[in-house]
Amino acid sequence: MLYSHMDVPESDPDADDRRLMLLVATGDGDALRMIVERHHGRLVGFLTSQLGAQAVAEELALEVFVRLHRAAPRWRPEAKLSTFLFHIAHNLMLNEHRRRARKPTSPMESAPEPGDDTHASNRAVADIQEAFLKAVEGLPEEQRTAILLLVQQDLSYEEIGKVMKVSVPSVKTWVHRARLQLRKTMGDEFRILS
Amino acid sequence: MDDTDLNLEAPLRDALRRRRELMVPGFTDRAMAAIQRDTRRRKVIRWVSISAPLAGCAALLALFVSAPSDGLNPNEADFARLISAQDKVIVSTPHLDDTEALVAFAFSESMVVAPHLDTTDSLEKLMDLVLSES
Repeated sequence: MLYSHMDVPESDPDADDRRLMLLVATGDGDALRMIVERHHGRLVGFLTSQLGAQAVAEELALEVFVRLHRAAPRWRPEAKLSTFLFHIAHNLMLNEHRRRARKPTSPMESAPEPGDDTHASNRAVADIQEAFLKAVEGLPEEQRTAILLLVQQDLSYEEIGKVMKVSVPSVKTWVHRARLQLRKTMGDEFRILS
Repeated sequence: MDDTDLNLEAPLRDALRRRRELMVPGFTDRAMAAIQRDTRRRKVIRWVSISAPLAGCAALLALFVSAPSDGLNPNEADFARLISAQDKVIVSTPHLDDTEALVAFAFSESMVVAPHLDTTDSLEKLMDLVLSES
C-alpha cells in the first residue's frame, strides 16, 4: 500500500530520514520499514567488519532497530539518523566485546567473501584484501571503529566524534594510530604495494 | 600524506568497502517482528507494574466497603489470598496516573497477566470496585 507522503524524491536522504522518523514517532509502521530497508545494509556491513561474523552482526543490527523504535518519540530531528544508528551500533558492539571478554569462545570464522575469482591475479588481490580485513579486526576497539567509520562508511571526523562521543582530535589520533598499526601488521603485503 | 600512506589507503579502502553495505534478504521482516515482540513485552511489563497497586487497593477496599451480593467475598481467606497475590506480582515500572485509562487500556489489550487471580471476572469485579470508589 502506497501513501502519498512516502513518495518523496531522495535528493536529500537525510531530510527524508528525518521525515520518516517523525512518522515512526507517531506509530507509522511503513515509515519504520523504509528506514530498516534503507539502513540495515550499512549497519550489517559495519558490524560484520567489527565482529568478524555476519550472523552475530545481523543479530546486533536487529537490536539497533529495536532500540531506534524505542527512542523514536524522543529523537530530535536535528540529529542525522545514520549517525544515531551507528552510535547505537557502536554501543551494542562494545557490549558484545565485553560479553566475549567475560566468556571467551573459540574464534568465529569470517563469513566467506562472495565473488571469489579463481584467476591468479584476482586471487592475490582478494588475499590482500582479506588480510586487510583481518588486520582491521585485530585493531584495538577505538582504532577499529574510527577507521571503519572513516574509510568504510565515509563519515566525517565530526560525525565519528558524535558516534563515539569523543572529540575530533581523539578521532584523528585513533585513525592515525590505526594506519600505523595496519602498516606494521600488513608487513610483506604492504611492501609489495609500496 | 606521503606516498606510503597513499599506497596503504587505496587497498585499505578497497578491502573495507567490500563490506560497506551487506543487504540481507528478509532482514526487514525480521526487524519488524523483533520490534513487535519488544513492544508487546513492554506492554506486559507496564500492565504487571500497575496490577500490584490496584490489587492492593482493591484488597483494602474489600475490607472496608460493603460489597454487593454478587461482588467480592470479604472473608478472611479471600483477603489473605489477595494480599499474598499482591506480593507475587512483579512491579517493574512506575504505574500511570489515570487509573481509569489504565484499566481501559489493559482490557482493550486483552492481556491479563495476573496468575494469582482465579478468573478474569474476579479481576474485573475488583477493578469495577476500585473505580466506583475513586
